[in-house]
Amino acid sequence: MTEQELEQLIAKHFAALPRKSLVLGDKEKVWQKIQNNLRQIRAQKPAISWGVFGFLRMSKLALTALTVIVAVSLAGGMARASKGSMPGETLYSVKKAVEQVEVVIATAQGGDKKVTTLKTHAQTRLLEVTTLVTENASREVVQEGLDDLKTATDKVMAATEEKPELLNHAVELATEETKTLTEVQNKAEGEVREAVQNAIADTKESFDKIIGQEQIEPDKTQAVQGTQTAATSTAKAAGKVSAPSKPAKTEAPKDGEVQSGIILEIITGGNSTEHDTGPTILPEPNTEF
Amino acid sequence: MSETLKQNQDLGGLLNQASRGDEVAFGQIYDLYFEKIYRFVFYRVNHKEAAEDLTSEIFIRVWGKLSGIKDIATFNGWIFQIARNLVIDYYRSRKEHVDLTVLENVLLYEENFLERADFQIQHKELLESIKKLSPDQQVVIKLKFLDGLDNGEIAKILNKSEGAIRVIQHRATMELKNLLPQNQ
Repeated sequence: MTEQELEQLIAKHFAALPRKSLVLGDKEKVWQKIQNNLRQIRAQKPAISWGVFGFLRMSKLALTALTVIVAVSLAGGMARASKGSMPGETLYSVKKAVEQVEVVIATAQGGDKKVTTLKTHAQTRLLEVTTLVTENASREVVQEGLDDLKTATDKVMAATEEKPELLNHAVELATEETKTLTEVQNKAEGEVREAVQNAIADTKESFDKIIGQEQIEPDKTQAVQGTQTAATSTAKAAGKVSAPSKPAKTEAPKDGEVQSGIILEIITGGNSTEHDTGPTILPEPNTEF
Repeated sequence: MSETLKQNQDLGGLLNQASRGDEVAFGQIYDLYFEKIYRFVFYRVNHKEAAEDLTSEIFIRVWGKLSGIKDIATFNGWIFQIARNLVIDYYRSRKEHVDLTVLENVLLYEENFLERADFQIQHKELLESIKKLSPDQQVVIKLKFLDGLDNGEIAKILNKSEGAIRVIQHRATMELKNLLPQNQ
C-alpha cells in the first residue's frame, strides 16, 4: 500500500466517524456585532491625541493658508537675504528671480511702472559692476555682471519701444551707464578694463538705437517735449552721443509740444533745404526824399 | 484557469479592497469564511453563543490586520491561526487547563467512545489508534482529516514549516498503518 492509498483509507475512516452535532450560528447576528465594533473603531479614531502634530487636524483650507504663509515667510526671508548678493554668489539667482516677480507685478500695475522697475534693475546691475571692479573681482565675475547689465539695459530699451512716451527713461539710463562705466574703466586694468570698454560700446550702440527709433517714428513721440526731441536730434547730428539728455547745449527755442518732427525742424531751422535761404531781408528804407 | 486559482485571485482582489477600507469587500470575505470559521470554533468550545462571540472577534481582528497581509496564499492558515489562538485564550480566560490535543476533539463521544455500545468496532479501533499517536501527530492528523485543512494552513496554525508538517503527517500515517487492523 502506497502512502497516498493509506491517506485515502484514513480519510475514508475519518469521514465515517460520527462528529459532534453542529449548532448553526446566526450569521447575520455575528455580522451585526462585527459592524458595531467597526463603527466604534471609526468613532474612536478622532479621539487619538495629536500632541504637537495637532495642526494636522485643521481643515484643508486652513492648512493651505498656513502652507502659503510659511512659504511666503521663507521666500521673503530668502529674498531679503539675497538683496545684497553679487554675481557669482549663491543667492544671486534668487535676487534675479525676485526681480522677475517685481517686473510681473509692475506690468500688471500698468502705466510707467514696468519701465521704471526695469530701469531700477539695470541701475542695480550698474552698481554691482562698479562694486565688482572696485573690489578687484575676477574677470569672469565682472563679465557676468556686465552681461547682466546689458540684458537689463536691453529690457529697458524693449519696454520703451512699446511705450515711446517713456523714452526719456531709456535716455537717462544710457547716459548714467556711459558716465559710470567710463569712471569704472579708469579704475580697471587689463582684461577687466577691456571688458568694461566693450560694455561702454554696447551702451552707445543701445543709445544709437534709441535715437534712431525716435527719428524713424516721429509720430509716436508726439507727447515728448519739443526741446528734448530737438536736443537729441541735434546731438545725433553732431555726433554727441555721450550727452543725450542735455538740451541746454543747443540753442533751440523753448517752445511747447510739437506735432511732428518736420514742424520741429522748421522751428529750429534744421537741415531742410527749403529753408536754406532764410528769411527775406528787406532793403533799408531810403531816407533821402 | 483552475477553480482554485480563480478563487485565490478573487480572494486577493477582495483582500486588497478590504485593506483599503472597503467594508463591502470585507463583507464578501465574511460570507466566504463564516461557516468554516464558526464550525472550527464551535467544535472546540461546544457552545453556540461562545462560538458566535469568538467568530465575531476573529473577523474584527482580521479587519484590523488586513493591511499587514503580504501573502494571499497564506490567508487561510492565518485566519485559522487567529481562530485557534482565540479559542485557547477563551479557555485561559475561564481558567481552564488547555490540552491542545483535546482542542481538536471534534468527534462525538471521543472522550468516552469505549463506553458507547452503539459505536462500530472499526470506529473504536481507529480512535484507539489515534490515541496512541504523539500529541503533534494527533493534532496534524485531525486538522487534516477532520477539518480538511492542507499542509500550508496547518503549518501556519501550528507555527511550523510546511516541511515539518509533511514529516509529522508521514510518520503519523505510517504509525496508523501499523496500528490499524490489516483487514480494514
